[in-house]
Formats: sequence, C-alpha cells, structure tokens
Amino acid sequence: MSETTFQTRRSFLRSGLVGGALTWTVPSFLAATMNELHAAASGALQADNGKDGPILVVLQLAGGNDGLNTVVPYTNDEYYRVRPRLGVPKRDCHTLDDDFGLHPGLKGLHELHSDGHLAVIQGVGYPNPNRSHFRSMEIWQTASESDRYEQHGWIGRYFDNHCQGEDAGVAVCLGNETPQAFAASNPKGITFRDPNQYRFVGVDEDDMTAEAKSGLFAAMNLNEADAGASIGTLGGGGGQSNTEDPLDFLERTALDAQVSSDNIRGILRSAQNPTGYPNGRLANDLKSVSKMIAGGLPTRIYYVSQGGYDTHTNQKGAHERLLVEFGDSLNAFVKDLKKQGNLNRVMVMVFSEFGRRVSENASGGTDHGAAAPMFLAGGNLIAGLHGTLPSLAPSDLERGDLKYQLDFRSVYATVLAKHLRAPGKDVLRKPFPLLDVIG
Amino acid sequence: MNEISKSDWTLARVAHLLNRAGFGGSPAEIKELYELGPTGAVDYLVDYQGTGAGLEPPPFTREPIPDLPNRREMRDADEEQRREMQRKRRRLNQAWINQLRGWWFERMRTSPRPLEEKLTLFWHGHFATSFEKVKSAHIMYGQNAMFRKNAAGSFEDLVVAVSKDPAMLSYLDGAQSRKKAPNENYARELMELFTLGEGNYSEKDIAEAARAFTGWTVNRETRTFRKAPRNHDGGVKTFMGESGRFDGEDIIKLILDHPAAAEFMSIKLWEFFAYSNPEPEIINELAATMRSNEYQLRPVLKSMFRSQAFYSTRAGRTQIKSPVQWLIGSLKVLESPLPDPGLCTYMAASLGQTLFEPPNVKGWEGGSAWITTANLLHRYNLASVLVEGGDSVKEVFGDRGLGGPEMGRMFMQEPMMDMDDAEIRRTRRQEMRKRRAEISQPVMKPDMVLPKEARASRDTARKHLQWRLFQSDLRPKDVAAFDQFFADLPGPDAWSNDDIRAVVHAMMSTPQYQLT
Repeated sequence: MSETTFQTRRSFLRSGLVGGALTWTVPSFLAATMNELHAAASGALQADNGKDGPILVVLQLAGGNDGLNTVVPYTNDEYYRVRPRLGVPKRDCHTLDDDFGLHPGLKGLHELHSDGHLAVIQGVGYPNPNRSHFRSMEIWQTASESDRYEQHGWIGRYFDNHCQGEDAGVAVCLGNETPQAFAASNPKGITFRDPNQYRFVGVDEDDMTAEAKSGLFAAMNLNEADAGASIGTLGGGGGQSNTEDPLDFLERTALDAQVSSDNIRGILRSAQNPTGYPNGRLANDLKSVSKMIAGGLPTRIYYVSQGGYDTHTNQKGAHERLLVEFGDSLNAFVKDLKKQGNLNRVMVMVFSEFGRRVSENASGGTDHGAAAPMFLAGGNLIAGLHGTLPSLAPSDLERGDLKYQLDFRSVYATVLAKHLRAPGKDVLRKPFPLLDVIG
Repeated sequence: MNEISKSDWTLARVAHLLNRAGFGGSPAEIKELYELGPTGAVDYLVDYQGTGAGLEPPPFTREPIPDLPNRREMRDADEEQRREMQRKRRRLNQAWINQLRGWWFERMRTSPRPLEEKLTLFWHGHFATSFEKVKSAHIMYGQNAMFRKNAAGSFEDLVVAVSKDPAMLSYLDGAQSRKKAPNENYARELMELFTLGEGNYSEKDIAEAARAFTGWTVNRETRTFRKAPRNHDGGVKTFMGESGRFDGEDIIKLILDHPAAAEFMSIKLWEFFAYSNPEPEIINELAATMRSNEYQLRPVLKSMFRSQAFYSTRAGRTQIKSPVQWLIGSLKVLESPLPDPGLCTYMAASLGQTLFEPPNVKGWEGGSAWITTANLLHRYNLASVLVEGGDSVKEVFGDRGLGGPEMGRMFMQEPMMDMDDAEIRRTRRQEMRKRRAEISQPVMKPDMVLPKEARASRDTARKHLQWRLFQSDLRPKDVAAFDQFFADLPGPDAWSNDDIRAVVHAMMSTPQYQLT
C-alpha cells in the first residue's frame, strides 16, 4: 500500500477517533495522553524513563557460535593439537593481549576493542549444560537452572518487576518470532520483521468501503475512554490482571498497538538513513534500531539476532563470513551511536546458546558444545578481556566440552544492576556476583 | 450443580457450547444442535462413539517406519555420509509433520465429533511434548492417535498410556532412565504438571516414583513401548506412605488415590472449557463426580456442559481464542474450506501456537498470553488473508512474500528425497510460486456468508453478520458502532463481493472477535 493511502487511512482513523479532521499531530497527542494515563496510573514515572534512559541491545548469535575460533587462545598448544584443520594461526589474529586474539574476520570488532568500546567475557556458560539448540536457548532466555522449566523469560520478568506503566514499546524485537525471553505475566514488547508489516492492512482507498471500514476500526480499536479507565484500575499497562475484563484488556492492547505502530513507523519514516553500515540483515536491523534510538522512542530493550552459526561441516569459510558480518555491523552501529551522542546510554550484549566441541570433527566442522565468550559493547564499560578461558586439557573437559567458569546470569545481573539500574534479584530469582565490567 | 433448563436453552447458549466443546459452527449447525434440547445436545457431543469418525490420517502414518538410516548403514558410513543420512531423515520427518498439521486442522474443521478433536488438543497441551525434541512424525502421530482414543474415557488409562508413550518417553528422558541412574524428569512433571500440582508430594516421592518407572523405554526398531526388565529397579519403594515393589502402573494408581488429583484435573478441565478461577463448590462437585466414576471423564464432561455455571456471564464470551480456535472457528463461521495447509500452520505459528511443538513441558500458557500488541494487529491482518486475499497477502507477508527460509520449513509437504540441494531449492521456489497464487484467492465465499436475502436492508445485513460472526448479543456501544458502520456504507443490495469481504474483515478486526 502506498504512503498516500496510509495517510488517507490515518486521517480516517483520526476522524473516527475524535469525530473530525485534525492535523497530523494527533497520533503524538494520543501517545502523550496514553503516557499521561500510564504515568498517572503508576504514580510517577520511573527515573530512567524516556529519552535519556539506558538502553540494552541484546544480540543473539543463533546456532551456537564457536567461541574458541572467535577469541583464539593462540599460545595454547592443546588448541592447535585438537584443531589441526580449523585452528586459526596466531599471525592471522587481531591481537587482544599476549595470549588471545580475535578471529581474522573480526576486524570491526577489534577496532571497537582499540577504541575502548568492547569487553570480552570468557568462559561463560551454566551448570549441567544441554546440547540441544532449543533447550539451551530456552535456558539462556528464561535464565533458568538447566533442569527447571520456566514459562517466563528473564526480560519478561524485568517487564513484570520494573516496567509497570510502560507501554508495549518498552521492548522491540526485530524478527519473525517473539523471543521466549519476552514471555511475562504482563507481556510487553513488539516483534516485527519489517516495520511496514506492523500495522493494520486491508483498507484500500479505491473501495467504497474504505472510509466506513476505517471508521469502524477506530470505533472498535481506538477506545480511548474505556482503555483509560481500565489503565486506571490496573495501575499501568501490561497484560490482563486476574480481575480485568478480557474485553477491556483487548481494547487496551488494540489502542497500545495503534499508538506504538504509529510511533515506530513514523520515526523510521522520518529518520535520516545512517551511513557506514555494510549490507546484510543484521546491519539493516541494527540500522533500524539506531533510527529508533535517534528518534527518541522510549524503548529500553532491543532484541536482534544473526543466525547460521551451527557449523557442523566446512566451518572455515562459513564461520569467517558470519564473523565479518557480525563485526562490521556492530562496528558501524557503535560508531553511528557515537555520532548521535547516544553511545553512553547503550549497551550491546552478545551471546550464543552454546559454544562448540573443543575438538574439530571429521567434516571440517565442530559439534555442539558448552561454555563460550560473551561480548559487551558500548560507551560505558571497562574494555578488554574479562573472565578466564576454561582449561583445554582433555582431563579437564566435560564430555569433550569446556567447563564454564562464569554463570551467564552473572552477566545478566551485571547488565541489569549497573546498566539498566534494576536490581537483578527480582529478575533472576537469586543473587549472582556482579562483574567489574561496566563503569 | 444446577442444570440448565429447557427454558434457558437459547441459540446463543448452544453457540457457546459448540464454541467451547468444539470449534464453533455455522448458523445451520447451531440450529441443528439447538433442536436436540440441552440433554440431547450434550449427549450428542459427549457420547460421540456412535458418530462417524473424522478424516483419515495421511498415508505415511499407515506405512512402517522406514529405518532411515538403518543402524548397520550408520555403522558402516563415514561421518560425511552419516550427516547426509541424518539430513535426509530430518527432511522426511519435517515434510510428514507438516502433512500431519494440515490433516489435523482439516479434521478439526470437519469432524462430526468436535469434542473429540477439542479434547485431543487439550491433552496435547496438557501432556505437552514437542516434535522439536522427539524428531519423529510417526511417534508424534502415534501420540495424537493415543490422545484421541483416550480423550473422554478413563483418565487413569490415559495417564498410563502417556507414561508409555514413545513421544513422552523421549521428551522427558524416561527412555534413558535405568536402575543405575534413574532420571527424575518424568516422575517430577507427572506429579507437578500432569496430575497433582505442586505441594502434594515430596522430593522423596519423586525419587521413588522415578525408580518405579525405570526400564520403561522405546523399542528402537518398532518405535513402540517396551519394558526392559534388566534396567528396571524391582526393589521396594516407599511412595506416599505406601511400600511395595511398585512399578509405573502402581505409582499412577497411588497418585490417583490422592485427593488432590481429581480436584487438580477438575480445575484444568473447567479452566479450559469454561473460565479461570472457578468457584470451589464447582470444583468439589466435579471432583466428586470424577472419583465416584473412577476417573471416567464422560460423566464429568456432561455435568460440566449441563451446568448453569457453564452458561453464566462468567463463561460467555470471556475466553480469548487460541490461534487454532481463531483459525478453525473462523473457517467454521465463514463456512470456508481449509486454506493451504502450510499457510494454516504458518498463521497459527506466527500467532504463537505451532501444533506438535508446544513451547515447553507446560504447554501453551493461554488466556491473555495469546495477545500482544504486535500479534493482535497480525490477527487482524491474517483475517484479511482469509476473507480478502489479493493485495493483503502481499502486504501481510512483505515484498519477499511467502516461502522465506523460516516459513518454507512449515510449507514443505513433500520430502523430495532423491534430489540434491540445488534441485530442492528450485523445486521449492516453483512450488511456492504456485501456492502463492492459490493463497491470493481468499477462501471466503461472499454468497455463503451473506446470502442475497440477508441484503434486504442495512439492518438485516448487520444482524445476519453479527450473528454469524459473534453468535451473541454485544454491548450496546458495540452494536451502535456496527450500526454507524453500516450507515456509512451504501445499502447492502449495492454491495459487490469485494465490499462484502471488506465488511466481514472489518468486523473480524475488532477486540470483540478475539473472544469466544
């Protein structure tokens, strides 16, 4: 559908909502009203709300990234012994310190390291690791013990405990599926692959039904009075409480959807296209995130992912291509945020569901493993290497995998406490030691 | 419980019964059930054994499981060949599971035993296992057939069958549980999620029950249940205060002797079919019925569907439709055929419900968890794909359209076993082009949904569509909004087919339509 049609439809929506044509400022007026209602309902806005609050960008490397070939232990003889074909020679690596270097494809990431914007945390995992993609991703996303099943995600528990009164746009995921990390008692978060699909379609201006259809849509879905009332009784946005009428809940969600859809698409349409990004989906997604941050969307958490890391066969070329895309995209994103003046507000946290087996396999690849490094990127962190690489000695391995040295929930707890300024205990159920990685 | 009387028997209540005990019905189907009266209608729905069975499953389910690759081949193969064999096996099972999904959707839509399918879906969510881990379409079908066979019979038989079900034995690691190293995963979930609820057993009970289930495993060749006596712990166990050389069946009997079991299941059933947080009196009565009938479910279901509470304002239009209910229910009220099976799977999955792949052992959370800001708009847009087709299909699925890699997985129906990767990609592209063209043709038939005689006036058209789509009275403000909508339109006698489609889509794109 063309932009003109959309404009026409929006004017229909407006006339449906307030009974007459108004100027283009209406959606923001409506948004402001919503914010006021939310704020009134929750008592006061939280300190970190709005345009100056901290932002977390979660970047998921899906498929299980080979940690040993990402942060290469190039003085470790055992590494080259068990990786005769895949081991990365020292001379090709980007030096981090005397013992470790980044994979040759990670030039972009290394530049961030040199600029003091990258922290590498080694040996991250969890007890009794699970080698199934699905299950291990679930453990990372729900931050559960590996033998417990949790319905809600760690970000979802952050919504439930720290985002009362925020609208759904407090978190945005660029993808086809809402990550389990977002699942909550009061679900929030918006997921879309293409922001243009995050809207109501099917009103064609050529049809004689268009105006009436837009009017009905507005009457049924932009029910300000009722939605406001139910917000008042609920004490803030979010899911349905035990006592709330399901119809009130649906009407409130419909209004939230319309407001955030208008906001997000408006920002993405009017924002200047940032430059310096490579091609590819990850770069495009990060570009969209940059535009939403620049546009002042009050989103606290963005979720993006890059897939393809399940490198069982012929890993060398495939892994290099992935790392180049990852490093260059992240590099462009950080530089872009710096130019915007927003870098100090933003922390990027990079994880994968597991690392890979220490020994390479017979197909020039690696099989599912356990502990691996995580990355943090941002303006306000203690750059360099953190944590310790687990021993590669055969007797120290667990079923051929690295033994974790640091529970990933310590990294979550650190990001929650030191960056998002939310006590992690509510979110992670128990305390985890904090790391000296954020300033 | 007070039973609903003949004088309270209205078309709207019959519609409610059919929505909850099945996936809804057309005005004609509601009328037919209404004619049977409350006793007759509930008997008809619950005692479905005499009614004709539904659609036959896809042919692969009747063929023996191909041992692909078989173990000797596996042993002799090098690593490269082994990977190729595994890839083939994955592709084959992925195509089959997609066939199975398409078949189940169609069976839900057409079965003359709606409650049988609704219960099968209920048990699938209750005893959740996922193809994601089980990886065999045959085993997932076997479980589906087992749920259907035991859907309304004895709950004890059902729990025993579930405990021996290859999908469950694989999903919760029972197949690997042996005397020397009992795995507690199944024993824990059996009590916590399936029968009793937390707080009604101890950690010791879990450990002892796990011992009793050791040696219950899956025959690798036939993929059926097998007891492996060598791996079974035949010693004395102490479980819930009783001691003996128990095995799994004994444990299940002891669990069902626990007073909490009947209450736990009564709450589960009531919440699925009627409403959440039921009054304690209702649960006490249902649980008593369950116990006095030795866990036979039919008397419980009848008592539930005949109770006044089931038809009260707490129940009527207070349930948020699951994606499957939304999809199949929409096809029922629109009297439309099933769209492309891959599209159905994709629609339900993108709204949060993938058949044979519940998110975890707790199944689908349901209720308000079905709805988020993004997927509410997505529901509205998918309704447009069903009733309007054409440009909406392009808009909903974006420029790249259907058949991107994630979506393609759900659309694949044929395993394409003897092709190389390039051929597979080419074949899939061609196939998707063809199916995209078909999907652009919406399944709704305007004449069926709004017959000529209903287009006499705005009022008749509004009433006709409101009844068809909502099957109940709406709030005065909703009716006023619909009246305004129809007043803004030209008279219905002038409507083109596209206008009818637009009107139906507008009425489905409302919060009200998401309720049942």
